Formats: sequence, structure tokens, C-alpha cells
Amino acid sequence: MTPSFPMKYLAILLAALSWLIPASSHAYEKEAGKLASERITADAGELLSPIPVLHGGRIMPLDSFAKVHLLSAYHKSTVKGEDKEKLGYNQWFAQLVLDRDAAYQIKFFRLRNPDLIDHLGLEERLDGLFSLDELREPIDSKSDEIQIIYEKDTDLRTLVEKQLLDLNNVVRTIFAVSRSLTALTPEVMVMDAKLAADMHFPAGKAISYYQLSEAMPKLEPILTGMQGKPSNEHTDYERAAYAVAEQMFRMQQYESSFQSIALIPPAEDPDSNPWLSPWEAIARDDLTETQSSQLAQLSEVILALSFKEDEKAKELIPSYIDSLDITPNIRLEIPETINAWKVPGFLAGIGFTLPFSKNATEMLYNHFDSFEYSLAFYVLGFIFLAISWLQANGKNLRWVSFSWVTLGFLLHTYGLLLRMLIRGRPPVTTIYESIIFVGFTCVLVGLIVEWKRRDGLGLIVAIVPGSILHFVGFKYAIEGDTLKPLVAVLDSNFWLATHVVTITIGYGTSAVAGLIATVYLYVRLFNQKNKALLQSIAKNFVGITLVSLLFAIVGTILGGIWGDQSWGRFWGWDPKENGALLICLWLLLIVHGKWGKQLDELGYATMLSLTSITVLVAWFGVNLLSVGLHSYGFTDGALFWLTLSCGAIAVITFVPAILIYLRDRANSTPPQN
Amino acid sequence: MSQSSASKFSIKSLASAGIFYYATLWLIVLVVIGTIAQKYSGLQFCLDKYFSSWWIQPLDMPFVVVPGGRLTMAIIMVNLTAKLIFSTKWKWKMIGINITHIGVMILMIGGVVTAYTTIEGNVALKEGEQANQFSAFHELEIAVIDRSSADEDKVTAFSDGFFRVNEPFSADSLPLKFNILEYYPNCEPTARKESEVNDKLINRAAQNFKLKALTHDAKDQNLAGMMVDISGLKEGQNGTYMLLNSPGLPRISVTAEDGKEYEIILQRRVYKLPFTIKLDTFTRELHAGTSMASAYSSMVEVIEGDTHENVKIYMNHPLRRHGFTFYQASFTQGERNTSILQVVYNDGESLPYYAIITIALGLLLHLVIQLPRLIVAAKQKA
Repeated sequence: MTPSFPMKYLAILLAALSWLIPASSHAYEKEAGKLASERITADAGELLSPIPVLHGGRIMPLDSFAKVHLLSAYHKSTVKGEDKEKLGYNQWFAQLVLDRDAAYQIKFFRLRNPDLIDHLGLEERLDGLFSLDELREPIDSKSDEIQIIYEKDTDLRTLVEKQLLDLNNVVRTIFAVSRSLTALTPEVMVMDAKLAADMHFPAGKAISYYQLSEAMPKLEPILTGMQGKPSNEHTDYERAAYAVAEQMFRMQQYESSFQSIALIPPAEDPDSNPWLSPWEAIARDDLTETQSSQLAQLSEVILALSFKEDEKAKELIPSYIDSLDITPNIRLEIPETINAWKVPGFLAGIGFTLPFSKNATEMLYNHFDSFEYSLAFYVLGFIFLAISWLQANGKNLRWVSFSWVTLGFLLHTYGLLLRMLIRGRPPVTTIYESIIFVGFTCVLVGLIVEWKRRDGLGLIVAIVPGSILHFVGFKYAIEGDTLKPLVAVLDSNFWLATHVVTITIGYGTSAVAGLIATVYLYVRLFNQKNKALLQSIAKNFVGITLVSLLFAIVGTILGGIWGDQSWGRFWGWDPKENGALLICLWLLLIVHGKWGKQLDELGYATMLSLTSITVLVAWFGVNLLSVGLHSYGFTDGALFWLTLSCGAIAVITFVPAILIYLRDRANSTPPQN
Repeated sequence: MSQSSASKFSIKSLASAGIFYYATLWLIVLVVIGTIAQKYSGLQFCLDKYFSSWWIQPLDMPFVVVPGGRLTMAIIMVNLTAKLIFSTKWKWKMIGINITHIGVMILMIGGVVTAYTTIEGNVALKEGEQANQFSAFHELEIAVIDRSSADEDKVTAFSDGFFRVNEPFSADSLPLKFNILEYYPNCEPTARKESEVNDKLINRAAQNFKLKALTHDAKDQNLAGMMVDISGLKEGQNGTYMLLNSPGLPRISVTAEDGKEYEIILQRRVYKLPFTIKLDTFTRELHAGTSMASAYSSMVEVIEGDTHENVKIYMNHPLRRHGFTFYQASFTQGERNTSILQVVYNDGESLPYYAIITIALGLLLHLVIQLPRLIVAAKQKA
């Protein structure tokens, strides 16, 4: 492997030559007259997808890299191409990096706000979809404005300004990604056949910057030889060599700053050291032999795909991935904290490697959206449950519904487990995961209640929050990588597994308790004669309230203890802490109100039905205040949805409660006194 | 409600569930208001106003007071104590509930101990530096420093308990007398008009600026300041000085009547440690290829007499010694890294650990006893 040619030297050489040759040929021209989609095969995306890349602080397959980037622009993982055919995210990515000019014409930027479209001076479209080519100019023309918005305080930015900033980021990010492999894609035609042969370039094919830089030692003497001669004495051979060198220099100038795809691992410790993008790797003169060979192999892969040589790529890619030598398999370990507790020595340091690769598991997770299927089964379960209500004896249909919900629950669990395996973390580490996990808890509790009761109540409390939370989860998932690494303070599997999981279960069970109370209110409103049914529902919500209290209180105190361990105070009246406290106090109030007879059954049910409001406030509301240690996961528009949800819960609760209260008062005889 | 219980107060009625119900309801109101108010007034201010206070003046209305967080919790605690003493039924069926209440009692005792013994502060150390003291976060002091001794500075400090306007104070060991004219927990120096300058204003800050009171900063970035008369100084130095709690400002140097020189500063209250802590290195690790930190850690040496011990302080792994706990809080990177360690002293620290075990055990027991009865199917209609 020859060391890469120092570009600085080439620049000086070209500067010295440039006045000798006023006009140069145009070797850097894309293959004209060919249709975009013809440049790569339909499998190129799938072939590229398992290649590891470092992105956002973690190693992921290109599969995830592609998905995250498409989601950031399109908010869906499958695009409709120009020809209205479906384009999966992997193939979209392959086109983006291997057939850029075609990809720039695909409409994959979704602009939801007509005001923004108007602001950019674009023509409004029903679907709000635009291509990179359409957006590049409008965005460039706004660069001064964007600079001003950047300098503005976040709170003072208008909606259009925020969206313009986001769009600017996304467009620039994707443009940079699209050009990050330009060092390896074939871009330059060497016009002179003899020169091509001398350089050992394949005949009639375009050459990549990387190939040229490898051939530089042979090109260099030709260029040096030209220096002493006047330009009219230059041979065609020399002119061709000069043209090639000039194209190289230009590419280096214009393209080498695009370094968004870090594909070459560092010499050591690939988990914690930065990786190199192709342009970076070529510019470095301190590559190890392994790295140089990895770069060479990667170049072969990209060339094979660029020339539609899929069979060759199929052979090259696995050996390239092998050569990266990153620990590919999932390893499970006993957390350090448990070791520190001096639990029997034989447990300490136990760990084992599972027989499947981390990246392959992640690809499985990307491609089979278990939460989407899970949602589908919950909805199916709901349909059967609804039909069962129309029948005199809906027992069989309830069983069908129960089966669908169970199936959905299994998929829900499967998705959660996959995420845990990929991350090597307990189930809840981000607000997105808390949404998935609260849904999981609700469905689990609902199924247990249903198993005990078999009258559909458990199914309702499983399906309603389970489905709603899946929908909310999708909203969060389209914002990008949901498997991001954690900030330093959260890096404790022990506390994530104890405090976070407990409090999240508390959210879930509280929501279930609230929902059962809501159901009670409606049953009492419409079917007040059935005292036995009402009483059994009441027993259920008392039971679930106790379960919620256990998890909420234990989770909250554990949080305090984590606080004590981590930043030195047990309790600081921080908004998130107060949110958790609010749930605890609210549940305590209800429970004691029943025992102290401040609340009768109607009062108890009404207050309990409002519990979901405290859960929502504790869960999402405190993030809106954006103060304190826990202020993560804020999203625009959250306030609107939060207010709407809390308002809806209040209405759903108070309407039946007031009607029952009025009816009871009208029916009861005045108290004797 | 029956006549007898309403007319006659007995100590047992302190155990009434009604007290808990309404006190908790009020606490919920305080938690909600005190949390939302943090967005506007900062955490520390709200903590003092809503949660650590006995009484609250709503909207600063005169003569109107409502119970503050501390009073409300004290009421709950009295209620709980009375309940445990007078109205607890020590039966098997109730064992879970009773254990839970004992756990809550432990938690509340922990809260009281913490409220009255906690000192919170921090110490910033450059690599290679050591310290045997730290500065508190929320307490201030006027420190009078006598640098005349070669081996050690003699410091006399007046804590913020002395910060009362027109209540002069001094110390036997000092020839100086202080009388605070104005004191603001948060203020801003504003330029003085020519006409407002007089001979009584001694230091340059006092001559050029006056203090304008500010409300509490929403991000707890407060600048405390005072105008203070200092007497007992040599001719021409007696008069009004401006002190600001800002480390960047020039210190005030004065000479007493007896010719001794002193430096006077308004600073965060300094507490001594019973040992010395030295920072060897500070390390910040990043998630690969990003500027997002994956770990911070400080390698420190704990020096007690002749013993040196090397300890690594990092996220979720503080150093605990003689009741003091050191946490990795912050840092600044430069030629020599500076690690900022948060220091907490709290006598009640272990109680939440006992409380959570007790509460969890109690609730679990109660659930095991009660749940089978509560999660049942509807009885079939006859």
C-alpha cells in the first residue's frame, strides 16, 4: 500500500503549472445521457446496509444511519420516487451517495407548514414534498436570515423561524452525507488511453479520487517534467495527466470537507475513539496498515456497487466487515454496581456473549417494526371487543379479542427486548422508551385484570392506553435515532433498572387505576342497578391504586436516593421530583380520603379517574418548564397536546360524575334531622 | 358529625385522618404552585418561599398568611405521630399498613434532620491543587482577613445571620465595627449621579455606584451586595463601603486605628474540612466522534495526617468521608483542568435508605394480604 500523496504538495505543483496552461480539458463530467435509476442496481441499498458506521456517538449499521437520515427529512422510512415506485430507506441512501444527481431530484423533504413554503418562495403543494434541488437555492438565499435566527434566543424564535432553522440543518446534513463518499465513487474519466493504461486504471471506466491518489506517485513525475517546458511543447499525454491532476485538486478542494460518514475505525478502541470518514482517511498520513487495507477494501466495495457489479460486492462486503474487527456480538454482563455490593464472588464479572451480532439485531429491529404490528393487533382486539358488546353473550368474541391483544403484547415485549439487547440497557432510558414501557405496563396489567375478570374491563384498560401510547411513541420515533447513547449522569444501569423502571411502572399502573375508575363512572351512570358489577370494579381500582402507590412511592424515594448518590442531595424540589411527588400525594390523598371517609365511592372514583392528569403532568408537563436537572425531551407543540389531553380527561371524568351526583341527590330523600 | 367530638378537643383528635387529608390537599396546591413558580423565580427562591417556609404571604399581601411547606409537613408529621401512638391497630391484617407508616415516619425524620443539618457547597480545584475547606452555595459571610502572620491568615467571619440593617456588630478580636445600611440578596450596581457623591463614601465602588435591588434571578444567578459603614479605622477610612459577592472585584484593604491591616470581602460562607483533598487529574471522556460527554472523573488524594489515599470520584460514585460527600459536579478545561466538586454534609443521609426498605416492605405485605381480595371477577348476576 502506497502512502497517500500529500495534497499540499499537489496544490503547490498545480499553482506553479496553472499559468502555463490557460485552458484545461473537462475530465470531471458525469456520465451524460443516462437515466438516474440506471446507475445502480435495485439491491445496492440492501448490500450496503450491514456496513458499520460511527454516528451520534455509537456504532451502528448503515441501515440505521440511512433510516435516521431519511426520517429526519421525510418522517417516514419509505419514499415514493419520481416514478411513484416505493423506495426503501436503504435504496434511498444508496442513490443518495452513489447516484447523487438523481437523488437530488427525489422529493423527500416534507415541509408541513405552508407558511414556511411561502416564506421560501416556493409553490405550495398538497403533499408538501420537495427535492433537494428545489430547496437548495431558496435555502441559500436565506443564509443571512438563518444566521440572524441562530443568534436569537431560542424562546424568541417564531414557528417559521424554528422550522427554517431545522430545515436548513436537515438539508445541509443530507447534502453533506450525499457527498461524503465522493472520494470513493468513480468521478473522473481519464481521456488518454495510454495514460490510463500506464496508471493501471481499468479501461473505459471512471476513476475515483482514492484511485487517483493511489496512482499519484506515477502521475507526479509527468507533472514535474512539464514544469520546465513552455506550454506549446506539452504533449497530449502530458495535458491529460495535467487535467487529471487538476480535477483531483478541485475535488479535494470542494469535496474533502464532506466527512459525515465515519466508516474507517480508529487504530484502537473503536467504541470510544472517533472513526474516520473516507476523505479524512485519505488525507491522513498516519494510517495503520490495517486502516489502509480497510480503506482499500471499502473503495472496492463502492466501485463494485457503482458499476453494478453486485456479485462482486456480495463477496467483498462480508470480508470488509470482518476486517473491521469490531466486537460484533451482544454481550450481557452483571452490572458493576452489583459487583460492588460484594454479592457472592462467583457472580462478579459474569458475562456471556450471545450468538447474534449487535448490528444484525439492530437491522432486524429496523426492518420489522414490532410496535406497529403490536398496535395493529391492539386495534384488532378493540374491534372484536366492540362487536362482543353488541351480542348478548360476547364471551367467545372476548376470547378472540384477548388473543389479539396478547399477540400484540408479545410483539410489544419483543420490541422492548430487542432494544434492551441492542443498547445493553434496562428498558427505559429516554422519554421515548418510557412511552413504550408505560404502554407495556398498562397492557400487562390490563391482561392480568382481564384474566381474572373475563368481562372485557381488562381489555379496555389494556387497549386504550396501549394504542394511544404507541401512537405517541411513533411521533417521537420519527425524530431520529431512538437508540442514542446516554448523557454521562444517566450512565448507571443499576439506577436505570431500579428507579426509572419502578417510577415508569408507577406511571403505567396509575394510568390503569385511573382508567378503571373512569369505566366505573360510566357503568354507574348507565347501569346503576348492577351493584355487584359496580362493587367488583370498585374493588379493582382500590387494588390497582395500592399497586400504583407502591411503585410510585418506592420509585420516587429511589429517585431521591439516586440524587443523593449522584449529585448530593436527596430531595431538591426540582420539577421532575415534584411531579413524582404529585402522583404520590394524589394517590395518598385518595386512599386516605376513603379511609377517613372524606370521600365516598363516587368521590373516590372521580378523583382516581383524574389521576392520569397528574401522571401526564409529572411525565411531560415538567419538561415544559425547562428548568431543573430533569429537563430533557422537550418537543414543540407538547404544551398543546398536554393541555388537550388533561382537558379531555377532566371532561370525561366530570361529565358522568356530575350527572351521577345530581341523580343521586334527586333520588335520595332529605336526611332526617 | 356527632356533637361530642366537635365540642371537646382531645389530644387523640390530632390523629384524625381528616387532618392528613386536608394537609395533603394543601401540600398538593403548594407543590403545583411552587413548581410552576420556578420558571419565573428560580429554584432556590421557590424552595425558600414555598417549601422551606413556615408561612407564606400570598402575592406579598400584608397581614395575610397561609401555611408554608414546612408547616404543612410539620402538621402531617404531628398527625402521623399521633396516629402511630393513639389510633394504630396492631393487628396482623394491618401489619403492612403499620410498617408503611413507620417507614414514612423514618422518611420524615430524615427530612427534618436534613433540613436542619445540611451544608451544601463546592470546591474548585486545579490539577495539583489541594484544599481543606469549601464554600457554601446559599450562605454568605463577611470575612475580615488579617494577613500579618507569616504562616497563616487569620480570618474572622460574620455569617449572614448578622446581615440586618442598622444592627451594628463587631467581634472581640477585631477593632472594627460594622453597620449595614443596605443589603440585597440580588442587586445591580448602577452609576451614581454627581450630586449623590459625598465624603462618607470611601471605596471607589461606593463612590461610583449605588445598589439597585433586583428580584430573585430565574436561573439563581444572584449578585448579593451591601452598603456597610465600617468604623474603628484610621483617619479618613471610616465611612461607607460597598461590598459585592463577586470574586472578580478588587478586595477592600483597610487599616485599623491600631495600624493593623485587614482585607474585607463579602463571600460565600467557608466551611473547614477535617481533612485535605488534592486533585491529581481530571478526565472527561466523550462518546466517540461527538462532543457529548460519556464520563467525567477526578482522581483525588485524601490526606489525613500522614495517610494518603487515592480515590476516583465520578458520576454516581461520590467520595464519602467523615459525613462529607464529594460529587463530580462540573469542570473547566484548560492548560490545567479544573474540577468542581460539590460538597454536601448531611446527618440525615442514611435515613431514606431505611425508609425505602421499610415502606416497600410494608406496602408489599399489604398488597400480598389485600390483592387477592381486590382483583376479582364480578359476581355473576343471579
